[in-house]
Amino acid sequence: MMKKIMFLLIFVLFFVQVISAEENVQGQINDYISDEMQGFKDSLPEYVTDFVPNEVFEGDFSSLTNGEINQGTFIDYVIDYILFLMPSVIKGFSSLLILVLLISIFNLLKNSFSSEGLKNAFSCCASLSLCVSVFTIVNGIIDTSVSYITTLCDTMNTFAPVMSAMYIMTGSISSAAVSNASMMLFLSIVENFIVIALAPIIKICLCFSVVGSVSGGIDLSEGSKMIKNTFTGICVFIMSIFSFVMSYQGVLSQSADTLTMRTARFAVGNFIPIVGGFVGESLKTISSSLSFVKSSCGVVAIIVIVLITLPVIVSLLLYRLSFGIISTTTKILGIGSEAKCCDEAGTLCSFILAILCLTFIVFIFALTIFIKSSGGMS
Amino acid sequence: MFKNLRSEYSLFIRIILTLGVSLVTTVLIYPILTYIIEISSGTALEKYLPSLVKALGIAISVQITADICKDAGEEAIASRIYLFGQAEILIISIPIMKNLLSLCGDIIK
Repeated sequence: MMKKIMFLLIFVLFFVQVISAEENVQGQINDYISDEMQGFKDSLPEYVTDFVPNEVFEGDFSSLTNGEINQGTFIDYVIDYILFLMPSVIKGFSSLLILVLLISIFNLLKNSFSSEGLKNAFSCCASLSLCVSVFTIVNGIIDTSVSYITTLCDTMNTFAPVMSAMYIMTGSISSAAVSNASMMLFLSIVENFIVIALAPIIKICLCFSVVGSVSGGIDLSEGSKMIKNTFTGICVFIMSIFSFVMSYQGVLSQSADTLTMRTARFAVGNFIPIVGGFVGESLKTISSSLSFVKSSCGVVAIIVIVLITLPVIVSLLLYRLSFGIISTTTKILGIGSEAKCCDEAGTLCSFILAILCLTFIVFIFALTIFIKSSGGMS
Repeated sequence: MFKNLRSEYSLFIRIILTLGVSLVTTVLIYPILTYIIEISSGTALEKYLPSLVKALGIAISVQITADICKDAGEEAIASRIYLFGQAEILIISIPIMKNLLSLCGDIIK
């Protein structure tokens, strides 16, 4: 009888210890996640941290599931940014429009000159004034785009350790290694190629358009097109390679991790006497909660990246629209040849938008693989 | 009509009439130009608009001068005046060109 009571007591003690160890582990995981996410939050721009609820960076992800962050919040964010950006866009647009109107009026007077040389000299002066105004606006756009890519790379640099930690905690050790390596390589390519090459390419294309505007006979638009198409082609090739490699590495490493962890769980369940089964099941419970935390962290990173990207997309679209209106106005007023730089500036806005969206999509793809990968222990 | 008058008077009358009409035109246009320069102050156009207006002014005055020379039968002087006007306009464009080149600074370096 005493022996039976002793065995029952030992069994209950082991059972209680396993349950309390599980809860203790959960608490430690939450503290660790909170520390990592606070470190991630510190690297973010202020306009992003103002928008995302603070509880998310403390490990409380309920705002993601209770509808607090929904489509309406993103639309409000975009509208607020448009209202913030409008004055500067309208200022640039109205300056250019006034200059275009004045040049078209002066052109009417220019037509009364009998000397062709005098007409050409005046056209040259008018074209240079217009080109400098356009160049000043485009310089601002280049600075915004480069700073966006730098911010995005810094954000992903800070989030990469969080991703690795999440992968390791859910038992996906191979996935942690391969995803970290791919992400670091892609970040170094973006920082050392795209960031450095983008500004000079845009300025070269603008210079070609200036030459075309000032000297009416020389048309370098085909050269400009060739440069843009080549650069876009190289970026698309690099992004496609990375997407392909990340996807197959994700699938294969996930399978390897699942096999490893299931083997470990089988061993734990069968070789530990009496409570082996409970330990195995508690591992499964912990892995489920870690998968939820991992997915939530991934979703937070996607939200942050979208919040960083939306303002740049909106500003590029607004500038594209302004340059389009100016370009149409110049053609209506008959000064299309002097205003080739306005056409080129509008095309360059679309080009920059394409490059930035390519970079953005690859990061979203990497984060989606991170979210969708189930824990190795499941 | 002025050619029927004594030839020594017709040229002076033409010059005086041309300059008189040009002066009246300038007086009429001056408030408009002043207003345009006023509204552009404080904007990005402040740097370039005065240069454009100067270029236009130079072109108009060169055209008037060259026309007077042609009326006086001095075609060679008229063509040199045109050349002078082109050079003046290009000199006015130099600051704008310098600005453009400094914006393209990365490529030149």
